[in-house]
Amino acid sequence: MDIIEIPSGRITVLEIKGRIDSSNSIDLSNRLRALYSKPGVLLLLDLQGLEYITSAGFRTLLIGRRHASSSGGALALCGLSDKVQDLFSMGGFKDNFTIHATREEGLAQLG
Amino acid sequence: MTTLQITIRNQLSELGRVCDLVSTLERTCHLPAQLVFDLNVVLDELLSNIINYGYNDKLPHEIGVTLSADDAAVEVRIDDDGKAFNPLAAPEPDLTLPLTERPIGGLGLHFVRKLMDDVHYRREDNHNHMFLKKKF
Repeated sequence: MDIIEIPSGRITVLEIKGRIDSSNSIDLSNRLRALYSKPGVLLLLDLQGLEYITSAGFRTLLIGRRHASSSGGALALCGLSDKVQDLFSMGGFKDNFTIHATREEGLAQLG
Repeated sequence: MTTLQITIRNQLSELGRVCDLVSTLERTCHLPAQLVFDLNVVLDELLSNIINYGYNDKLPHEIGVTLSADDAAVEVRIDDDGKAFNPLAAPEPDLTLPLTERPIGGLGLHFVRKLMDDVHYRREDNHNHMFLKKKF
């Protein structure tokens, strides 16, 4: 997994490439915790380059969501492939995350 | 029928070798991308479960992973000497509960049941054997 941080005005885009699974989800977890250590941080996770995500990755996203709300920040997602969207539906997570079709839409809505 | 087999140690860092095995099968048998996605998710869920929760000791153990494919289906077999655990007997998660009240442990096995067409479990000679099948 590669995580590329791209500042975009008040929002930080995190491009995630590769896989998020049980062996590396801790890396994303640590990154999110560090970013939300400041109050009011707005993060947009761009998952366009994501190969696949497993339950360990969902656990990480849920923890990220909790960090965001407790620090007065926000967490939104964009660029989900059809297969990744299927997993969100399967896990019953679709209504629990703010999901945008494209990065442009996410930036416009978060900003 | 193409069959690939590896033995991994009970460490999460070994899972990269399983991804490589899936990639080899993908190239050899021209598997559809969607099936490769499902295989990778299911293998990570089952193997991480075994590695994280399957043993009562801290000793090294071996886990066998076998992948087979023909032009109609992919089959997966996982063999481990951990404690008896039938993933099919694990309760389905209650997805209607609010997230904060939902135990997340059952999610991985929920994915396994949903993504595969057939899932079988057998306990034999102090080993767990999982058999999975997904049609193209």
